[in-house]
Amino acid sequence: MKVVKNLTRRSVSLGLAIAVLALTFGPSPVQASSHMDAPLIVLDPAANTTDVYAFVTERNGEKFLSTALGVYPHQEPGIGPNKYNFDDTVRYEINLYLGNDLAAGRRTITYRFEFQTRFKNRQTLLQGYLGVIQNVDDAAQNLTQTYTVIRVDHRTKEQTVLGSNLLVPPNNQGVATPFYNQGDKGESPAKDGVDRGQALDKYTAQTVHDIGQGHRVFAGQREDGFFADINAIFDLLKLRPLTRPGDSFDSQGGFNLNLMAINIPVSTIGGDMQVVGVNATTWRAKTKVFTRGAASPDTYKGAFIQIGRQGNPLFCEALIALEDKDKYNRSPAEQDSALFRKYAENPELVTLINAIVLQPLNIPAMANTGRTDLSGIFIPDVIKVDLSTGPARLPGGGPDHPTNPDDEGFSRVGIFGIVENLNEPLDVLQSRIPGAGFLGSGVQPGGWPNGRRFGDDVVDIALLAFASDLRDPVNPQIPRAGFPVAVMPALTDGMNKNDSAYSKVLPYAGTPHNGRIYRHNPQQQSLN
Amino acid sequence: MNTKRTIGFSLVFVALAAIAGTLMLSNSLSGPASPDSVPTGSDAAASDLPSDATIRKAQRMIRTWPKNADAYNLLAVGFMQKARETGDFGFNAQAETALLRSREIEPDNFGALRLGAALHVVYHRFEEGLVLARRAASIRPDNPDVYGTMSDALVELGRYDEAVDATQAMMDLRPDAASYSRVAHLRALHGDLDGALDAMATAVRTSDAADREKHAWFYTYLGKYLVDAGKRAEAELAFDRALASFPDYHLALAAKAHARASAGDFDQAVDLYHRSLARVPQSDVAIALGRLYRRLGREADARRQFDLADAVERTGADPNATPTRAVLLQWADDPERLDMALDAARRARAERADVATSDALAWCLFRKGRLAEAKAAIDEARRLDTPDPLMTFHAGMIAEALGDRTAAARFLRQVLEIDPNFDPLAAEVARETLTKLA
Repeated sequence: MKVVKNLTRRSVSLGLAIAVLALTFGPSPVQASSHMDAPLIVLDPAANTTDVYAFVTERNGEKFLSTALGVYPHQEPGIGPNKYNFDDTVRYEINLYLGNDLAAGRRTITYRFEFQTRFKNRQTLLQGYLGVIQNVDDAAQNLTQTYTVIRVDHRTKEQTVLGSNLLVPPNNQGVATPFYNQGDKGESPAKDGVDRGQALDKYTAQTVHDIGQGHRVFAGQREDGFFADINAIFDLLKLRPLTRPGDSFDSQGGFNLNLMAINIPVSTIGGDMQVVGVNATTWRAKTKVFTRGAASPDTYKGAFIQIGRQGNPLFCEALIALEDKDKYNRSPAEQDSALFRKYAENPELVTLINAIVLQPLNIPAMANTGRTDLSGIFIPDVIKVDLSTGPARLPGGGPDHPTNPDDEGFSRVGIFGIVENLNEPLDVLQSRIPGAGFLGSGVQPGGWPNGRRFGDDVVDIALLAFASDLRDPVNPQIPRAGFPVAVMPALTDGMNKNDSAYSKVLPYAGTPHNGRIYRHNPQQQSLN
Repeated sequence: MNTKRTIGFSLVFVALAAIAGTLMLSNSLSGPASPDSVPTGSDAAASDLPSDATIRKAQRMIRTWPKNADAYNLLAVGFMQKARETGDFGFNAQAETALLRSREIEPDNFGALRLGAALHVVYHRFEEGLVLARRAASIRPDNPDVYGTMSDALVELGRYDEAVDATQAMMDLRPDAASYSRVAHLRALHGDLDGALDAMATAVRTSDAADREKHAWFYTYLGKYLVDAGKRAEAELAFDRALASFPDYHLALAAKAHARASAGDFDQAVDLYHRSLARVPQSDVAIALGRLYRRLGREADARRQFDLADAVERTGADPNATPTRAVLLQWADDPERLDMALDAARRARAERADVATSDALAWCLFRKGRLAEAKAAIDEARRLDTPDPLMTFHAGMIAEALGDRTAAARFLRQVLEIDPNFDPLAAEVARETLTKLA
């Protein structure tokens, strides 16, 4: 996270901090420890999950649950190529929760991605590329990753290999990877996302794989499709539309991540007349400290431990208290009701927004206790998707993109398009499940919290949901009573779209930024 | 969950903590580097340190919520990391001040206990560190970091079985670079170098490359184990990776210097030792350089380095602390300081029973000619079969003095086989003694 720079030591208001600083000017005693001093807190980016997506798609008349998992966030495109790869020792899992398992938070089916890495030539410093890559895994690509997709049915314990030895495309380095970029030129910016499979760039097209039981998968580097003015939220919730209109920017702009995406035929998971849950987990093997005496190759292997978890956007990031974030990452969704319900029903973030954002503007406070409407979304923390609806409207490169416009009627705020002066279409889907949908009406949001699409403006959706009150089905309030409608458009981080175009076909996320030519929001630099 | 994004939102939660007063420190505390910094020895390292972002973030929180303990805890984290990155021990004092403030605001808050324990260990106050870590663990038994600190303290106290249990508890809670590196250290101490290399390689692979000092630390220790395993070329590659991750990293410079000296490349070794000392004057590095100078016949230069080592010891964070093993061994080789060395080694051994301390005591006793006691001490030092070259050399020399020619030859052959230049002065002695035995 970027830290705002205009905080100099001079601006620290506490005399204490200044007094402390004074102690170390000039040479100080420098006996560093003689013992080992291993670091205590170390991030694990390859296993760090960013976002889970889940939405309904159709292809050739067949219906799919399309899901995606992003890991290894904040990839600086110019650095690499070797630093940003899937980790061979991590298990990446996309989990489905079906039937009674959904409310229980118990996994029903898991799609596990396991990676392997190989080099064509280890006798070179050019670890990623030996020349210009014409085709994925040709002689010019030194480092190649492949993967296996295993479907685990937790009901029967059955494990099915859906595909193996599946190629991962190279990272977008630039000259070595021209076909990612405009005009197939290594010096040009990355191509826009596309509206159909035939239009995908060569590397991506070569690594979209049709595997067992009608699944289609992709794993590789993509553009980070999340967008938000994280800096402003971080900066004491000074949402820029309220304080500095027009200054908002996408904190994730110009960064890549690693993505796994899979089209799951709904026919393989019990058909479309159901609401299913989706989340993702990452796992690492533990090891035994003591290995003396044993000599088998498995000496050091231990059971896999869950170290990362991602469900709905913002739940762990924005609602769970610091002291419990690590526990959230290590616990199954089964325990969410017992451990984390309080964070959804009594969201302290809302208390904070009330105090910091709304109160100074004399806007009535939003409800911050007993929010069963929010716990319905977040507990258990899996993304709920109604599979009975038609396909979700997907974003491309905005409504006016010449070749890849957003689907007609797509709205970044989905059902909150109902808020009049937001100037967004009302983007909803019709459920065919009796009694399902928004307050039992059969109307489902077009995006999050009914599933989550690329392009869903999850920060604004969350802010709008906080400001609403849907606990009373007879009298739903969007926004809740007394909340000035005029303020609604301002209840936003002001960051309404991603910095590059999405694709409307797998892998959905945009082309990875070119390592030679990419840019973050210019303000990112000044705020660094 | 996305830790980078969480960092953003974590400020929100500190705000909440100010209201609720109950929240604890996150384990998501790093971020992109930032150019603003405090002057230190090297410009390259002083600018753009990962810890600076953490420190500024904490200061910003403190400015907004001066009554929030976690903001001070975060400040302590930043300063402790800055001490690691700069090698400037003074930043630990700032961390301690921040923790004092945190505990004024909220006595016995978990973050302050946990970090206080880690700070005690940094200061070599292992018993106190252990007490605080145990208290922290009693509050939050499912926090992996606490067991890491507990393990660090227990290792230094020589309570290895308990250290293994604490490390296993940490690993069982969260396999990551922090737990894998502690597993590696315990395996290496117990003579399982293959296991140590396996675990440290996993730590390297798992650790965040953007957190450059820590990433470099894992590479440096991977290299040290490779040296111990007699794989010098691979070790040097690991040191180079460490230096690429965190340029001018004093630990990697010193480790690479040692490897160069082993290879007989004394010129570069001298240069690298000087570069390490220019970044952070450490007594054991000054001694290593002094011994190399003495080997090269540059006695005046050697003496200057030994004086530097003494000066560093005297101006250390705690002047009453017992000297490091390297210092004790160096003093033991100097007849005028042998008594002082033995006194200090005895005091150290009264405080802790780790193998390095027992080894230093054994060498002092050997130099004093108290061979029976030396034998007992070196047996204690070797109780884990630690593949430490100096320790093996000492065992050989003590066995030779006691007339056990078989054991002496075995130890000396063993150490020379792994690394014929394990120490610029001792390797020569080992060779001569071995010739004499044959």
